[in-house]
Amino acid sequence: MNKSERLKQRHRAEKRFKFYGIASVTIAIIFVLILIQNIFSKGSSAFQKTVIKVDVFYDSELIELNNGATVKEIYDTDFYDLTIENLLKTYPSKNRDEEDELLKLFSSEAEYEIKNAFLNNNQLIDKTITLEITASDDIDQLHKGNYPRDLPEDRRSITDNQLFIYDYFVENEIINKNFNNYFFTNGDSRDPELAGIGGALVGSFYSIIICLLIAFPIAVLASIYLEEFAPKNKITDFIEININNLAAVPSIVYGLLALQVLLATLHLPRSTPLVAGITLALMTLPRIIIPCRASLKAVPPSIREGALAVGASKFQSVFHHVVPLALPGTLSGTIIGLAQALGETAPLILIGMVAFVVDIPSTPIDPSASLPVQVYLWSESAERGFVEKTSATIMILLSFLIMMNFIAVYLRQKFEKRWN
Amino acid sequence: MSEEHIVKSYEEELQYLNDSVIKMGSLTESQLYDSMDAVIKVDKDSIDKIIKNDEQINKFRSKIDTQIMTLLVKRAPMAIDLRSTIAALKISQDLERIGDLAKSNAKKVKPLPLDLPEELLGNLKRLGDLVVKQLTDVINSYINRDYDKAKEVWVKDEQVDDLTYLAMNSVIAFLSKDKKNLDFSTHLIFATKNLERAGDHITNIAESTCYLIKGEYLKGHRPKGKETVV
Amino acid sequence: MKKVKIRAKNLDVFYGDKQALFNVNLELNEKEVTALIGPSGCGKSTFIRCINRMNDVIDICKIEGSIEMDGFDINDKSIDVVELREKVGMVFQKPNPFPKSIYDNISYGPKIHGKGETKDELDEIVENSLKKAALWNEVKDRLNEPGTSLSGGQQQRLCIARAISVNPEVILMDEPCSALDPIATAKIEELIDELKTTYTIVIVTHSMAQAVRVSQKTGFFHLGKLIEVGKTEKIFKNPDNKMTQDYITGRFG
Repeated sequence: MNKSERLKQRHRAEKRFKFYGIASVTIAIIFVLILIQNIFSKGSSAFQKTVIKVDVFYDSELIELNNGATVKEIYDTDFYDLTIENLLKTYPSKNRDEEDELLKLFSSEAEYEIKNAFLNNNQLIDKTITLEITASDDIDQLHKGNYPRDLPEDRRSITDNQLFIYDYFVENEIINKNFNNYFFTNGDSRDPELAGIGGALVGSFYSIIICLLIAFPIAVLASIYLEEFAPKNKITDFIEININNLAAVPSIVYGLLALQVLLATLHLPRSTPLVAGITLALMTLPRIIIPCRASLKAVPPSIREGALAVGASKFQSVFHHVVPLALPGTLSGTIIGLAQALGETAPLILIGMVAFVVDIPSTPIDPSASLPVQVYLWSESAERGFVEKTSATIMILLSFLIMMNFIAVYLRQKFEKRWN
Repeated sequence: MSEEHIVKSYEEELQYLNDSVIKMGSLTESQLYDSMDAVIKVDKDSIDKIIKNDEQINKFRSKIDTQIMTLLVKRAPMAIDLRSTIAALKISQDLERIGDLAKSNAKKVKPLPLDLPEELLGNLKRLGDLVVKQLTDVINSYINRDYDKAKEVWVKDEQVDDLTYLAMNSVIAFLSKDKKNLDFSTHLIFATKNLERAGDHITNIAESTCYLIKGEYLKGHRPKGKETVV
Repeated sequence: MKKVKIRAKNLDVFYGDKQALFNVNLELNEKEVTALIGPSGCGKSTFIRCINRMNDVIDICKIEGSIEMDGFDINDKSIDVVELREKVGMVFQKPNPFPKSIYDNISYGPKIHGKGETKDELDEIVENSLKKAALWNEVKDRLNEPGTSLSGGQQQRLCIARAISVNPEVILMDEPCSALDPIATAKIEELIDELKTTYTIVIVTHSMAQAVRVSQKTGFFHLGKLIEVGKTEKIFKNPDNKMTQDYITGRFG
């Protein structure tokens, strides 16, 4: 009697435990889904920009250019009057104030877009083409449905007249949404509709590359030395404990370190991917050393003995046999470490990557932004247009992280299959 | 260091084999004694009993063979265990032959007359007694793993040869006295020869026992006494 | 009369404070198979690992006394351990082929010792080694497959081929068949029979029957001491020492 009761109890306990497990996983998944849904719903609109169709007539009287003009000549020419003339044509304004309001519906980039069209085709003198001019930030948000139309006029930035013009554009199908190439090609900007992560992408890319180039060789060689060659004594124990501790140090400490040593003492250029890369490398070193050492430890001693028995020197047995086997674990650890470095914000803020940098850096010693810092900066801005961009940048960042983690898992599985 | 095998069943199997050899030896001893007694006393009633008992000896031989096969296949015995297994094989073979010889001698009692002369039987009796004693001694030496005793038996084979010579001469002398003695004389000649052969088998047993104990073969030729004419 | 290839003189081996071998004096003859038997932990593996100085990798292992090969003390400072291991090969209890191709497994040794410079030379060495190890016919069409894809018995023969590839003089085998099935074991024993005409072989084994089958000389170790050594037939038919007899007949208490 007792025995079967106990058996039932055990089965019940198992079922309960299974339930707890599934419940926890479900809750976690629900949270993740909520997060993703939140980000996606806010951020997906950033990949589009609102444009207004304008028939542009390249009046030879307003610009002093001929067909076949050179690039330099076009650059040097002022297109302002031509731009104003063409933009005003889109709607019949009654007075000067209304004209000003109409112009404000367009982005300040309008002049450049009209000039750029001529750069692409310099036979347009006295000809008309239809261009899609980027709308201003307010119109952009209005068209995406993020704007509070219902507020009284003195509490919003768009006037009633502008709203009227907007509705007119909508009715006549002059206004549209296109793919937002500026998001990827432009650097940061005061105008939200023009702001992009181009600069931050390149900045992050340079930073991570420098981090990899510094951290990977040092970490791997240090691991190999500590694991295979160093004598096992109190000193090496001490080193091992400290490496483990360093991996747990808050990243902002590395920022302070960089501030003092790299910027104040060594006078390296502020705000650059070079400094960011070095800082991230210092932070990532222990995060590569730990999995690398674990992989080396995991190589069975029979491999080492087999190599030694055939007459290999210690160096040969380590580098010809042990290291190749430890490589998959090391690589996946490295990729995960880099993925973490990609998302680090605190140390980069300290070394000055919060500066407002418009240009896309061409070398690692040009000042730049980086993806996580860009998210931070935009999240602090007042303009409504930056909200969607913040979320979109997070989406980009997350997809990089997920991709890197997948690569790490794939590499590990592929190499482990071969070994066994 | 213990004396027993770690695997008890191994120990028991070796012990059982040893006991089987000893029992077979015992049986053979009594057979030999009984058949000698029958010859000397010309006791024709005991012939059937002796012939029947020989079956038992043969059964023992088969049983021991089977035990040895099993031991070899199961245990792959080494050193002293190997030697004692092989010794058991050889000794049981020799004991069976001795049993056969005893039976053969018993059969020879039938045609014998009841009035054989004393001096004829006397030499035969002395030979028979010695051979029986040799068998008893060699079996004891096997039981007690007594090297010296076994060697003694081996050396004493010379005496067996000598007594055979004497017994044989008596029979031949008896034969030549009266032609009508020819018939049973031949039986007596064979009976004498059988005893000599039994003695050789006993010597074999002594050699096997010595090899079992020391792991070396006895050196030198077997001591040989006078050669008989036949 | 066989020449002595390896001579251990008054050999003591310590792991830190613990002594593992006590005053071992043992001669191993050239082109002969010597078996080392004894209960677990008696020092046979320790002894065999002294011969190719594999114990060097254990920091706390100290050696006193000497081991000579062809008259030279192998622990002398002037001896390069890498060169020694070219002359003294080892096969381990659990087959441990490199996780590389079959070809690379065999060619690695010769390459690092500078024995095969052109591809043709290496091809020849690989083929010869595999043939001597009775494995060539089974793998000649798949030399590029990983060594780990072979069966247990084949892997062990691969390890033997690997040991042979550097053309050693001595081959040490530490319980080479203990992880193999009877047929694989028989193949390895057959191989040992052939190899002994060329190499000096020392084999540690737990199988008494195997020691009898493959060796000409046997040494019995117990608790770090060499109790008895002699011709294999004598040891197993009629050993001098009672301890030896008790061990081989299974009478140890």
